[in-house]
Amino acid sequence: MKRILTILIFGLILASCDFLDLQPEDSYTVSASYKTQDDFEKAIAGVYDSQQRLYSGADCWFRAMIIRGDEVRAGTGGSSSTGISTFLDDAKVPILATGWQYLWQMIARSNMILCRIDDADFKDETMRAYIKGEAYALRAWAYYTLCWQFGGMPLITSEMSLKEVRTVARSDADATFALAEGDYKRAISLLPAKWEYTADDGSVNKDYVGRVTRYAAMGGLARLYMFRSEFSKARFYLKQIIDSGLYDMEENYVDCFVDSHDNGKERVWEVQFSGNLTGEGTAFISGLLPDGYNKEGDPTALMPFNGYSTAMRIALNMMDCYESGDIRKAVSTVQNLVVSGVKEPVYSYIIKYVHYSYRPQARDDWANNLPIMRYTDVLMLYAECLNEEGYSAGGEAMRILNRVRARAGLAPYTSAELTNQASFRTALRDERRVEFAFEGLRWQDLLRWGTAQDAMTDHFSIPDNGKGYYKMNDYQTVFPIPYDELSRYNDDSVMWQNPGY
Amino acid sequence: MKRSIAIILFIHFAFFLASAQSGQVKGRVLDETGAPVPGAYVTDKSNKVNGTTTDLEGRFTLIIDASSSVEVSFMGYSTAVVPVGGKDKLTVTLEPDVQALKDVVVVGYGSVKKSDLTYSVAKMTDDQFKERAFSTMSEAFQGMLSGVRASAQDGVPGEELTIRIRGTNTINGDSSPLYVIDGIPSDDMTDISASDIASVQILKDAAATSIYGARGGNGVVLIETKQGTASKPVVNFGAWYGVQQVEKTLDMMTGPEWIAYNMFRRNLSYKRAGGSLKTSMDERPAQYQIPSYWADATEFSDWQDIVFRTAPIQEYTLSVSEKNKNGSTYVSVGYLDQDGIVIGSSYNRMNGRINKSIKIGSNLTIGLNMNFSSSDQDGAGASGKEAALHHALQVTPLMRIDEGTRDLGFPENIGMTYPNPLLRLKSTKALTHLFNWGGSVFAEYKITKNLRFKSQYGRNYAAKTYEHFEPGNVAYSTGFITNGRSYSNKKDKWVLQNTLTFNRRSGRHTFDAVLGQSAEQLRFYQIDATATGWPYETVSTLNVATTPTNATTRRNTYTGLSFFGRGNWNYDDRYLLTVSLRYDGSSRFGANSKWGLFPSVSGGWKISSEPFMRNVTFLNLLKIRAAYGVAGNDRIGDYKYIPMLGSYNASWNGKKVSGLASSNISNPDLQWERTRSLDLGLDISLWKNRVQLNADWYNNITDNLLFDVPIPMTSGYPSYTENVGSILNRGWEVDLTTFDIQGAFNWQTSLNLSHNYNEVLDMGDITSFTTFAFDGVFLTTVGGPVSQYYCYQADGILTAEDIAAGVPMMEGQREGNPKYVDASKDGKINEEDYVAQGSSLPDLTWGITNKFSWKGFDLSVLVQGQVGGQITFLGARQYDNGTGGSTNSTNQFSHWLNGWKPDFDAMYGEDENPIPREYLEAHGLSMEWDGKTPNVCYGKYSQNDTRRLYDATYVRIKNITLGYEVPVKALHARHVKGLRTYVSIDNVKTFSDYPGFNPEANDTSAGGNNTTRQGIDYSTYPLCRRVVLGVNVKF
Repeated sequence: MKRILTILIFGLILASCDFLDLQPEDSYTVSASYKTQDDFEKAIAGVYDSQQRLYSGADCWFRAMIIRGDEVRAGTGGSSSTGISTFLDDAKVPILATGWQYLWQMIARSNMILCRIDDADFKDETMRAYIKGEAYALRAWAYYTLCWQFGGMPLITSEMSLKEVRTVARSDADATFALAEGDYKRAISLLPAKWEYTADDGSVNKDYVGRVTRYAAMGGLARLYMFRSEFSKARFYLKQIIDSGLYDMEENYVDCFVDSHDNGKERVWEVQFSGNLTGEGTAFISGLLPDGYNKEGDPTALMPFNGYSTAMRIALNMMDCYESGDIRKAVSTVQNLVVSGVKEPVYSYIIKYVHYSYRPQARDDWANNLPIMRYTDVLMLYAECLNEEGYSAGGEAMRILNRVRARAGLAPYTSAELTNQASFRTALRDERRVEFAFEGLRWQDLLRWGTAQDAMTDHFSIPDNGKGYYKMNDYQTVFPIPYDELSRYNDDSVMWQNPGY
Repeated sequence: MKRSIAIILFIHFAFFLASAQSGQVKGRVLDETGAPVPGAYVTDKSNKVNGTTTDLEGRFTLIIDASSSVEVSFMGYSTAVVPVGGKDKLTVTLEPDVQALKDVVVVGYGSVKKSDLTYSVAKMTDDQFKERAFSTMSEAFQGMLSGVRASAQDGVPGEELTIRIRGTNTINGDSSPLYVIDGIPSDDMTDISASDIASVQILKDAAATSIYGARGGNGVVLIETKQGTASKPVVNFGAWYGVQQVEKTLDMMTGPEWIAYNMFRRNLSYKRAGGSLKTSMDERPAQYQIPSYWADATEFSDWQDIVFRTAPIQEYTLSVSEKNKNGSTYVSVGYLDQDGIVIGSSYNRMNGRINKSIKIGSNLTIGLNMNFSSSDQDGAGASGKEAALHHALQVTPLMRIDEGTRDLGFPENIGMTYPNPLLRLKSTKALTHLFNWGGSVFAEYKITKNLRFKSQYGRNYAAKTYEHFEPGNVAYSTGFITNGRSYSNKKDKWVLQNTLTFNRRSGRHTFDAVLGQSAEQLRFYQIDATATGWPYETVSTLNVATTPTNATTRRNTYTGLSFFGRGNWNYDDRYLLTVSLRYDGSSRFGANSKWGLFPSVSGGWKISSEPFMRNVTFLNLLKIRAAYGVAGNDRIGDYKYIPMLGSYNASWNGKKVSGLASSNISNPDLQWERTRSLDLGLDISLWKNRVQLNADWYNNITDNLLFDVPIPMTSGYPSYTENVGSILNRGWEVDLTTFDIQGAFNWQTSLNLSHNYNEVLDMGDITSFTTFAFDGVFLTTVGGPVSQYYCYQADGILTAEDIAAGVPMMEGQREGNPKYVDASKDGKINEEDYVAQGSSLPDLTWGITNKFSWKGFDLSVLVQGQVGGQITFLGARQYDNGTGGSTNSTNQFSHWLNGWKPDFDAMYGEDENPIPREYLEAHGLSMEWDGKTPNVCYGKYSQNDTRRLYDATYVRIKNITLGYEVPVKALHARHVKGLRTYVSIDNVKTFSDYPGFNPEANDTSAGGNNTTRQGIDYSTYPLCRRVVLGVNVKF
């Protein structure tokens, strides 16, 4: 018996090394990855995933961009965006913390790719360059987005240990924009003009369409320059997009948003979604309409399922911006909805993205891509550059503006109406407000024009928006750094709150 | 105790006795069945140094004086004293000692006489489990054990209580104890029938638990099930039947109150949006319109009354027990059936068990423990966030019970689409089926009379199936789309344990030692699928669903390997010393730290056994003990040290593409959490054991705390898992049992008190961090307890004078809003003004049981409670907020009717006053301010303030049981050997200031996590009051 025991014990000690050394059976490990081209194709998809998450929830970050400006009623929103519409926001607004998290995740995932890709085995060297380009472009977009929203950021451009991360203090906005600018430029030099290509056998492969292209990166960079009012730099890149010949305006305004025209000629850069309950759809669109669309077969129902009590109500002053006859009004908004058996006589809701060919089967199953940059925006920004650099009566800027108005079913402006730079500027800004309504651009535009406070004062002055009850303070041109993040740093000298909050 | 005194006597008189006449006596020791008892101690009663032990045949030979007596003792049996009386052959028959069984305490891989314990162990025995009715075993723990906090966090039928031993030892690990059931380690004790329990011992200090090494750090619950005992087969039949009712309902608005309040809110909102009350109703925005039918409505629904019910519960158990010279047998079956007090919820369970041992020859015993349990629990989706119970508090009393679904439609313009809670409960399935099969075989071989080898192989298979189905009609969370989920998992575990036990008595020295090894593997597999859309909802399985949406399988394995040993030394029944050591390896630990060493040492001094104490006759036992040990907590999740890739899929050109990204930061040094525990104890028995006191003081320092350290999001990861920091748990426990009156009338009192102080000592690089549960914030900071509530300190309401005086306010605050304390004194109210408000951990938990018996009657009353600790009523953020500035019309606590209001007549003019005076007058209601409730209709406020934080102190009359032992002789029923009937009431009354259902609630499904976010009530399933009638018959 003792001998058996001895054998048993020693046997187990010897066997123990293997016995205790287990590898996960249902998960991939990092050590086995980041080695081949295939690994990096999956890794770059992981960066797109983080960006997608900013646009995919019923109360996602993208929604906060709409709520902040003067497009929706003061007080509209829901608990995760409390205070954003009324400027009573504080560092605890959950929607901003979520945005912050995904934006930084994009940066970290891009950094991991950029640090490791040069040592990896690629069977196709062009793909190595493309993926690097994508990582730079997505990192640039994330830094730019963080910076215009929150101000200067810590500049982290490599895989860092936790200790190192904790020592990188916030830098100023100039340095952060400069980082994004450099990344965009690198991306432009690396990325393909388009992802659609013809294979050796003559077949056209469209599987990669929707990934960031050289022109998408140029659009991103141009927007950064516009935010900095560097019009000639912006114009340089916008012109290249226009001259590429790859894009054009859709004939019908609705086709800028309907899923059947996803990745079409209007779409320079958009966040990709797909339906069929793949888990890759968006619920953002479901979040736009109120409770009550839950009657199966009801022809007035715009969605096959129930909406949300937190649906945004469009500001009455926003509705007044549409000129009569503007076909964009009916595409973008809906009035007189019947909710819970009662017709809504006053408020309208956003339906800009509620145009579909694939009917979603669940709230989070919308296949519609959501725009980052439309070609119309490229043209309009270009027109803005031209005007800011020098007004030209009946020039190209005017032609662009009128082309946009023509698609909206509106009469063109004449040189007699817009006689100088200032009047053209006003007309162009007003046009942007309706053309790009609810596309998350208005607040950014107000900030770069420096008119945010004036616009919000006007917005809050009407009775339905509190009649002076709310106000925007000077410091509210940037959002507060999320309280959660400050508490994670717990170090004011590295990560500090924006002044005023 | 008798023996201790005898030893003292001996020491002084041995010399005198040594001169007497001696002769050889041969004898044999048999048990009550006539089987030989090997290893029994046989001593000369008058000279205890003179002794021997029986051989395998139960035989002994002793040189003894003819006038003396032979004293035979054996664990579990009464000590027998037989006068030699000049004979040279003796047969001694031992009788089982019921009291002695109670005095034996099972510790890991062995047992110890209670009076010889050197560490801190709490014990419950079978009679405590059978005298009243328990639906789950852990229910029996509450209020009965010092140092053990058993809390009823959730009243869902079949749910076990949450057990915590000596506070919270961990921040991010799992703080539940290790369960060892008939020798086999387990993570839980689900679905064991209380009627099968022989004893439960809870090892509390690390000296006791270090024999379980890396798994003992949170304490160990040792559960022994019954073995056959009676020499002739005894059949026990137990049955009880009871009815349950909700213990308490909440004070929500009645129908007229809801209408008045919402008329007011809609008028006010419209006024604030610039409207005039003179405008015709249908021109108002829809959300501000007051439907015309409101004013005349007379029929209302009380939704709490509708979803709660009086529900039956019953249990039947049958067991047979037998023991003879060839071994013992215990067979039992049991069935419990319970309807929940919330409609749609239920639980039933069937148990079966065979515990069998067979003696083969005199040296070999082989045995078998087999059990199965099968249970079905239907939670009906009742509890938690956005669940039916939560909605039952929130839906308008205007909704009738035949409306409020997608098909039935909602009442016009009520400002909410919460589905009908009743129909939702009735049609939602949340069915958990659990099937447990456990079997272990063991062989015990007596190598020599002092050395035994035992090998045990246990196998446990737990299969769980969960089916969830929510018909589209009531599917709130998916926007009224039918949805279902089903998962099925299995845990397949084997454990192999080999132990070598040695014991030897040599003069005044007694040695015991155990040496062992164990190996264990747990394999987990799960398949999980979801689907949406069903053509017909008569069948709920996923195969008939229109669209499958997800299917995954998961698989992982845990392995552990251990070597351990323990030695006990008892000198002269005065000095006790125990040392133990365990060496543990686990697959969960990082490559650099696969193995850990866990030592312990403990000692005791029985002062009452000292010669100088011999004159102190009232003192039966006075013992002091000290114990120091190291134990660990390995419940840190599998493969946590390995950097993994998570699936983060994206979409390109309308097609899903697979994406992968690193999901955690690797840590090859990851290891167990280590608890070092010092325990000082005192055991006293006085006046023939009529007063028994056990007191302990302990100091547990857990370091190497496993930490999902929340790290800056700028790193790309939310947290990093590492062993940093330490936490202190220091406390004391007192158990006092007194036999107040003995005789024809008996009165016994048992009191237990436990105090635990919890403090985070260190967290590595950081000194504090916060976590969130919706809008609730929790702080864990160095110098304070784990999981403190972190919020604004509310200080009444803002008055006009406050505002005029310029008190600090939030941007946008107005008169009547809650006023907050500017804790940071910077003149602003922002997150810097959050104040740590303490945690949910109580200062004192206590229980007191009074038992009275007279003739055949017995009465016991258990009162238990806690002092200190808080609870946050997080679920009330939707019905105790006055609904704030939002447009929804959820029902509210009725006090909101009387919230602060400005002088509307002055503000808007008398004819534009939003208060619906006419309706109020017609229904005898008032909206006058109650002096407390703030104004939340405009301005700004936070919900994360002290207004929703409550003192969780409570006193509960937990149980009253009145029993009657029917004199069976009077029954003239030949086969009936015993008959007891009883009436028992559980949760008789809870005294507490908490406005929610249950001050012990802790909802882990709604943002809580049991470690850093503790003490959350989110419309948690309430407790029930239960009245039970029971009978136990013995044949």
